Amino acid sequence: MRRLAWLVLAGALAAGAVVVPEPEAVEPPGVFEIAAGRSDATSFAGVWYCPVAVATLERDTLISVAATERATAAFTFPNPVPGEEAETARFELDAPGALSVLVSDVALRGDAPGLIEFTTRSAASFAEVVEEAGRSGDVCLAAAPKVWYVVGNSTGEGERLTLRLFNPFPEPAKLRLLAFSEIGIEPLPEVQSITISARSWRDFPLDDALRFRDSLAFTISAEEGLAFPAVLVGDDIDTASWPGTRLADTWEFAAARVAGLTPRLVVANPGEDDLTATLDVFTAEGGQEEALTIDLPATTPTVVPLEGLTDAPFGLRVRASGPVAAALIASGPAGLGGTVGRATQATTWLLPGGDSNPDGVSTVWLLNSGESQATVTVQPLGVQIAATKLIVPPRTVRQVIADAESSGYLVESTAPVTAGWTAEGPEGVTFTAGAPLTDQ
Amino acid sequence: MTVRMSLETLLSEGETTASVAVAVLVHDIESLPGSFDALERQVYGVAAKYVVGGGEEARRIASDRDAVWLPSVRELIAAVPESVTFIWMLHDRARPRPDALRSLVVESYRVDASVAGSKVLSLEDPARLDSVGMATDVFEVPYSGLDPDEVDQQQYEVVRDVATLPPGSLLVRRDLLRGLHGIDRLMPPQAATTDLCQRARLRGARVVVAPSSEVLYPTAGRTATVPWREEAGRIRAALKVYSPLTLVWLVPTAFLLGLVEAVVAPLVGRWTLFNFVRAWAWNVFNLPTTLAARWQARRGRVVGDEELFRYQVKGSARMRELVGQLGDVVRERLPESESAGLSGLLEAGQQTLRSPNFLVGLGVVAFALIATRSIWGGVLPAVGFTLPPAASATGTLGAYAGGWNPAGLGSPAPLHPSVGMVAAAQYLLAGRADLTAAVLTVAAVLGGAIGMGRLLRSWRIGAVPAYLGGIVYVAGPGIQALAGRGEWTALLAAGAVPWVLRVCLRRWPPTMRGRIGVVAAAAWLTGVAAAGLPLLLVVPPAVLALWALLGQGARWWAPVRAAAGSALAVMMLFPWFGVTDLYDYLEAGPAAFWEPWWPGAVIVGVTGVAALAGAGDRLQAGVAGWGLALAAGGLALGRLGDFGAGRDVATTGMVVAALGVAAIAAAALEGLGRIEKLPTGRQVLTATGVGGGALLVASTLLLAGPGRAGLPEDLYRSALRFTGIADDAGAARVLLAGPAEMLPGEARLLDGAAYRVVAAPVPNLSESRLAEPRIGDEALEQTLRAIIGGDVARAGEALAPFGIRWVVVVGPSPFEGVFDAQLDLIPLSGLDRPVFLSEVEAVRAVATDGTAWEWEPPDYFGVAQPAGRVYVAENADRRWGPEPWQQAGWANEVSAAAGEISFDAHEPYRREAITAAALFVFLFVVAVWGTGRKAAVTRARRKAAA
Repeated sequence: MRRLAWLVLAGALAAGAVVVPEPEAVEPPGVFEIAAGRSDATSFAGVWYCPVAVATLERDTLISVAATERATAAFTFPNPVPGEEAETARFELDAPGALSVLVSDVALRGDAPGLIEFTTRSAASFAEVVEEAGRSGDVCLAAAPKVWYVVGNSTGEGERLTLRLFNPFPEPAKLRLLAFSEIGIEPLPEVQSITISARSWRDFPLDDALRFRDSLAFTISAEEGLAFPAVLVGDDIDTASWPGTRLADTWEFAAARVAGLTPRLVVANPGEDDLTATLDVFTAEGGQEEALTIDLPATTPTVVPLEGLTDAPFGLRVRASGPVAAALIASGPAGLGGTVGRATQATTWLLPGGDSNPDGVSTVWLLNSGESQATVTVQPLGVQIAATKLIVPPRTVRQVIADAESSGYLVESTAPVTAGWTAEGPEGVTFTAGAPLTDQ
Repeated sequence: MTVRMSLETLLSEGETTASVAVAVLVHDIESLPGSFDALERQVYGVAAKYVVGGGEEARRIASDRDAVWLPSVRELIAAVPESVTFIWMLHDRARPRPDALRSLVVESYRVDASVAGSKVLSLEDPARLDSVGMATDVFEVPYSGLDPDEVDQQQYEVVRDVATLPPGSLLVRRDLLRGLHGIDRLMPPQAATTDLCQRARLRGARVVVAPSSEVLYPTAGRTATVPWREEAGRIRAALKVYSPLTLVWLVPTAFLLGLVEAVVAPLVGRWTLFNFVRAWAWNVFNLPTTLAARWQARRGRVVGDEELFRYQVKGSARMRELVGQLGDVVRERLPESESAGLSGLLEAGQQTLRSPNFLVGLGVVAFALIATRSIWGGVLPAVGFTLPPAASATGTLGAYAGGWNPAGLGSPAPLHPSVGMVAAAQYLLAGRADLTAAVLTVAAVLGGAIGMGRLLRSWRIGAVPAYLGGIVYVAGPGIQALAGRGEWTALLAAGAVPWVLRVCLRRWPPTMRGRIGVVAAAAWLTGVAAAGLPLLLVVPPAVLALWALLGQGARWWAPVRAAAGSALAVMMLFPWFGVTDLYDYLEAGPAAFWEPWWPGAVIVGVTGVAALAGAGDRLQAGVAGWGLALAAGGLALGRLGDFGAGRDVATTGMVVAALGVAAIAAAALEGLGRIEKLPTGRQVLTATGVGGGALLVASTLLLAGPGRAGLPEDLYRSALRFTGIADDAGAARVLLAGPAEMLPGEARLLDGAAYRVVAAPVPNLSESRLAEPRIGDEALEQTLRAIIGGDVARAGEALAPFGIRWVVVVGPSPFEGVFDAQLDLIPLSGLDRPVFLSEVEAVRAVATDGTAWEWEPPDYFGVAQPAGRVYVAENADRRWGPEPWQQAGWANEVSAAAGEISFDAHEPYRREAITAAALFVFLFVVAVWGTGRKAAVTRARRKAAA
């Protein structure tokens, strides 16, 4: 009898052990979603990296910073000479505010890639190199993905191409560089594996090694550490530079055409599968969806001439069937410009810069590719000038002539838009993407 | 500390040239003039010269050489003017090189030493090295570590702390020498020097050897010291300096070792018996003066025995030498003697070796040693809750008794009882952390196996199956699961559980003394178990209640005795028990959900059912049924996470299941001896049970194989080894991130991602369990949120106020990648896992002038600054001192005036801890008194008389 009792008791306990439900696991991320969801245009830690800065007697760089709230902007220009301290400077910004700093005032020693640490994440930075040969620049970089894509490059007759890799971090960056062009993957054994010393940078002139390529793209993968890439290009008329970018299915370019320049879009498909993409064109009059459909062969950058699409100034949207990188290049008698697109729309944008072009015309571009009308306020920063308020109907693009004294603009919209700006002057042309502050 | 402060004062006052008086100690009057000649060649001038001892002849020579003659060191201390900083005590036969004194003074100042000695070279052959300072063993026997005739190639040219110095050339602070009342005049030179060094060290003074100071000393015809006097001096020195607790074991051990040496040494041609007897007799005769000297030596001490142990070698230096000599002798004579010796031994032990009881007993011991070989042969792995004891047993005991809980960013909350238990054991084992870990682990495995075997034997299970059951208990599926989670203290606790059951199941003694002894023993053993795993308080009453309900034999009072024992044992868990919320405790840690190896669980079930159904008698069936119920119940208990049960509930379930599986295995194997008497049906069942039992026994090899008692492979020692490269690693913390089960002890969660902060270079047991988060923990969480959220680009700077210098990601974690793009964190390459070093010099405590303070748990030490302040990166608590205390954000700011920062103990906790410790000792004494052999004899006599 007792044996039976033991059996029943043990059986009941064993059954209980088997049927007892597994406790629910604690769902982790919350705050970590921020880390996972960071974009390459939104400053992740209030730090912006400007790889193209330079300051000599002939060339100088104007770094413009803007913030929506009161903040301190700490500039650091690392010195690549071991043991040498970095040059630093600190500036206070109003809320909202913007200011521009000449790199030569802080670090007059040639190439001087630097970083700007803000005490707020609602900030952005822009660097523009002005020289006799032309003007070049784009918004600085905020995020540091492990893989960068640099597209829109070419090495035609008279064209110069230099790839700059800037490592602002305290450990060396070990990178792998892969180049591919219209003829496929380019063998570049001497730069396939690159080490960038801590808090240093390296320039790779590639126009000799890869001569006469119509379209060149680079994939830069970080094996250890991180680095920020940018290309510095030039021709007989002007110079231009634009940074690396990541991959996305959709890219928007608020400004795709300025007078006197012939624009072309470069879309690179670094993947192993062929893709297709459609181009939507937006003018002040309205949008033309699927104005162009293009094939994107695998591991090939594709150049899409944009002349003939429309005579009016226009913005552009690229929708691909898979992740691609895109850049817009414009060249002509007026100069040479290039910029990377924006993969995100936002209701708030910061457009630092603008006061580097006192003898020319700067224009703020607003692209509303959505279905809702957007009421947009364009607030000049750093000067006491009233804001401009305008309506951007759905599927249109609008321009606002910028004030020459303003160091930046805060753009606030009732509906998601894409913003950017262009500068046209006697030294050349600059295309600049804006920095979105609220992702959509 | 007093010494350190006064030296610093000297330096701060700008005194760069110390005033030195030289005292030549006369042992050989003929050497005295030569000694003065050497003195006159010194490049460092002396303020005064003295000759100590030697009678009229020495007085005359002193007069000729402008020196003052004094009869003894006592007069010397009185005579040396206060303007003199150091006294250089030189033996008259010593011949110092011209820069010997200068080197001593310079190095003493440089390293802030109060006693410094010279390197001694042979006068006859100056290339031969005689001594460069020495270690001693715990019995004060010097151990130089030099080879005979070792040539001086300046291989030891570094100033280092030593236990003792050669007596030929000693530079001693005058005020220290005065405070120590000079040299013990009853001791011969070497013992007296060792004694002086030990007493100086007790006062916090540094004792160093300065090899750049060279002294030649004649090797031939040295001042003859009678060996027994040196031995007597060593015993006296030990009696003077060690704490009472150390003397409790040291004196009998020293006596026994001396005896063993006296017996064995003649085999190597030495006769030590008479020396041994005379040395001890001399000490008995001089005990009153020794006690007086002891009182003087220990009054005003600032460190404990551990500080003396730090410079001592393990074991006995004399025994090591003796064994070496014996080895030489055996090697010389083995060819002639080996045959006869071995065969004789075999013949003598043949009968014993054939006994199964002997074999299984030997098997249990061998198994325990094999299963723990990596621990007693090396070190305890540091993984999960398995963390080595802290370096300082006294420090940990102080922290346990109301002091500062060092886990994470610290807390005044009481430490877990396991910390107190391990620290107490460590204290008894001369403060040696590795030895403590090894002894406790082996004791738990061996004790658990034997205890389970004896428990099963009390149920009339045969010796072989009972002790095989014991092996299954400590190495079967339950303990494998428990140890696999890194629950070292629970493993130690499990070793005591079978003993509690056995004590409670014993026949109730007829005498009151015996009864009190049984309850006291049950309470003491339960206290030991509950210290490691507090939930084990309820296990003995519960499992014995189950036995009482359905078992066999006299059993009804067993759960009552166990309950009484548990009730008493509760009091041993204070102060931790007093502040712990029961529900919080039960729910603490990851939700309990033990996933056993299910085929193994089926084997256990089938074996249990077969043993139960096939058992030849009711008691055997009862054991099998009890085991089956416990195995199933333990498994169920270990899976109650959905009902809120936490880690300790799961661990307790594993211990219960281990008891059950062991009972099943033993009951099943017991069937083998009875199978022939059973009917056919039961024979089949019994055979099945025996097969299952054999599988369970075989499964223990899985635990024994790696030799770590089932504990996982070391993680933190290897993962954090790199921090040891930093000289001041102990002054900083490490932020660890990874899965909670891979982090040391308990972890904090930030949106489901686990992290925790530990001390470098390796966390210790007192850091295993985190107290409730305090202001600093919340500040750290906010900082981590800011880093993760992207508001911080210089994580090193943000983490520096917490004393965090390194970040280590030990396993898959959402934190991985968070620290990649920080501007002041350097990823260290070549390591197995992501590791980041902060560019910001982060330390746990830093003075306002930027100097880091050392952390010697639980206190901090640094250079005293009368007007300075020190930031202490511990959770703010006004008991940190010295005053004035001020809260600095989440941390503390205290005065730097004393050169030491400490935490004033929380008096109620201290009283509770002392009461618990007293109860622990009291119960042990009562248990021995009540259940010992003498008590048993008394009982037997009374029974016979009745």
